[in-house]
Amino acid sequence: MGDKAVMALAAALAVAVPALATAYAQARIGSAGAATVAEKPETAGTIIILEAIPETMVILGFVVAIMIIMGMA
Amino acid sequence: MARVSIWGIRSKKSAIVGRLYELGVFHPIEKREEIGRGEGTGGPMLPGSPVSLLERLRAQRGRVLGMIEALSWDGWKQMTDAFVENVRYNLSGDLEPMMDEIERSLERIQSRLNRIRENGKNARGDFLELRRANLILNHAHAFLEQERSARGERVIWRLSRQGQHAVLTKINGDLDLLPSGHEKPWFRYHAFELEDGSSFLVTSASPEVEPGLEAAIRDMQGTRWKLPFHFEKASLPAASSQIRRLLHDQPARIRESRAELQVLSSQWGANLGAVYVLLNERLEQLLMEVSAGENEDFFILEGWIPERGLERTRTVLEEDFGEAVLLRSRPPRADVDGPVPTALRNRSLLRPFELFLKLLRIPDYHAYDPTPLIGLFFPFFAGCMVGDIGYGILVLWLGWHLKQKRSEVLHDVGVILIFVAFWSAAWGVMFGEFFGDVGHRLLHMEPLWVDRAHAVLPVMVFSVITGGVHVLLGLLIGMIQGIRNRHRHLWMERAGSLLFILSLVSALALLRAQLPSAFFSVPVVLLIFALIFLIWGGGVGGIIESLGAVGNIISYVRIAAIGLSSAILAMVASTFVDIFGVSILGLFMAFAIHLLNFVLAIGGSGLHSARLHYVEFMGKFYENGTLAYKPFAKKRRFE
Repeated sequence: MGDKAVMALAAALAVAVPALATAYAQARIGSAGAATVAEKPETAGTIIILEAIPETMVILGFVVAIMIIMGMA
Repeated sequence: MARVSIWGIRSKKSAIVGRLYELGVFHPIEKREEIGRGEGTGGPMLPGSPVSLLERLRAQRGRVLGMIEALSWDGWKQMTDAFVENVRYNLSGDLEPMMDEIERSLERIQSRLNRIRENGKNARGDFLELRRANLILNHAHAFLEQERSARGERVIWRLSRQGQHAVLTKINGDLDLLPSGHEKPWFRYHAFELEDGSSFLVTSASPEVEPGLEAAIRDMQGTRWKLPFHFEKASLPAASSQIRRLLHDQPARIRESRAELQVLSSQWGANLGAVYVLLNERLEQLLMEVSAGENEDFFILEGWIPERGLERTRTVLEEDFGEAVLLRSRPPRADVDGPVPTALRNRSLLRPFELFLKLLRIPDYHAYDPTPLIGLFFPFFAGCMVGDIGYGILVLWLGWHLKQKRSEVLHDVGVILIFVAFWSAAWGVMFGEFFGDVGHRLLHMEPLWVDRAHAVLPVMVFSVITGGVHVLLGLLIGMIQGIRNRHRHLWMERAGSLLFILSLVSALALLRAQLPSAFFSVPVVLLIFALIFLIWGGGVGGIIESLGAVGNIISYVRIAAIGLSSAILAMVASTFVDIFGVSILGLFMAFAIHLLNFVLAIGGSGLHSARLHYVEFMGKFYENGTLAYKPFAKKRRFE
């Protein structure tokens, strides 16, 4: 396998693995959050914040992927 | 916010409370203390006492609301302040005569309403009963026609399936035992079942069999089915045609009853709505009166008034009541006052952005209200993510449409979208995008700054720089707030994080500019001060907090990431036209992809931009308050 192919795979994994992790975390937080908001609507803001926190993983993965791709170029 | 005490002569209490209600700036402190002697709130429920009036007012308001619902009136959207005031003008000014007057009107409406509802209920009941009777007779019709000339009586029985089986076995068995001859008794039947599961048996038997048949059916808990109303004495075939004719007339009866209710609703619905609003307002005033502390001569109300409304309140009360009222005010004192209510005060242009704080608890009275900065940065970030002139125009259309709505939330969302539309179009010019690359293809549009679909790095760097500025601003506000509120740990931690980021930025800048190593003393000094502040302010946790701030800045890369995905998806839409040509399929696919992209752009940009504010920015300084400013004021929002 050529270097470029390995780097492309690495870039894909850099986004895919955190994306899966984020999806898992958001699913768990989201289901718990929906139940919380149903009982206490005033917690909506806090729940949105908690729901949004895991996204940072994908963003960091995206940055790493971009850095790998730029290394390819 | 000023802490106020309003002292007044007891005989003027209602008038003073009424005036305060109209001014709509007084936030009462909910405490029910009696001062000196007097009955206060704990007084007995004597006729004419405030407590008994309160109960009567509540009951009357409930009755009016019940009547509005019974009339199915829903004209709140057409209600105007002028109409409510007109109704108020026609009612007595004093509470008790006003309630008596309303009571008399309610009695009149109630009697008409009862009659109409009774008629309607009867018409619906008759219709259902006739329809069922008609159904049963239809099932039995063929059998009855067949047995028209037979001797004996034809009867419809209501009998279970098991009961039918038992009865038929018994009667047929009895008949079989009889000797055959010229006048042998006979028995014929027809069984059927309705959709609701009830089963029936229609019988025709010679008179000798009838007593035994009836006894057998009654043994099986069967009952004789009766014709409704005045058909009871008619024969089954004769009743059938009359029931059909009567059934035909019932829908008209029901419609007539509904029309009558509609007329009553249009006559009285709006008036009752206005009366409900007025009663509600009087109830709020009376509750305030009851909650006031008082003795034989005077009463006292305690609460808060925003500084900007204080002088006007004082002037109006003095002009209207002279020396019968005294308003005393002082600044809030943390040691005696407890929580101070927070009132958000922003210019009308920025007020819609207060929506973002409604999802959280209101900021503390001593904390900074971030609404103006949200108004500045939110549309900027969201617009950068959308970054397309075409989408900007669509967002503008959507925002304008929502702005016209009467709902406060939708109106605010509309205004926010208009701001986002402006920045979307502005960034669209910078990126040279009009529905993706359609602008470039048709109008030869070129980006003013960079084509973000092909040059990712500049937009990413710009996002991080913007994020750095935003996070540093949050830390600066947190630091100033900490100093002002004398929270040493808070301001030192924020100052430490601020210096830590500045040291990193300066080190990167020096590396980039390839300056001599002597210049590196600047970031080193900044780092040393940062560590001192961080450890002093928050210990090891402070250092972790500052690293989190670096992560927060990187989080702003999402602006570039979402923008990139939006730009590429828009280009994909154009590619469909390339593949399928300017055909219906090609145009449809392009339209569908653009629609999807637009929805994602609106949802994604709004959500991520809000998250950047909630987590990365406001997390640095936002302090939740416990008490929102809720003025004692009219709640109506009619035009």
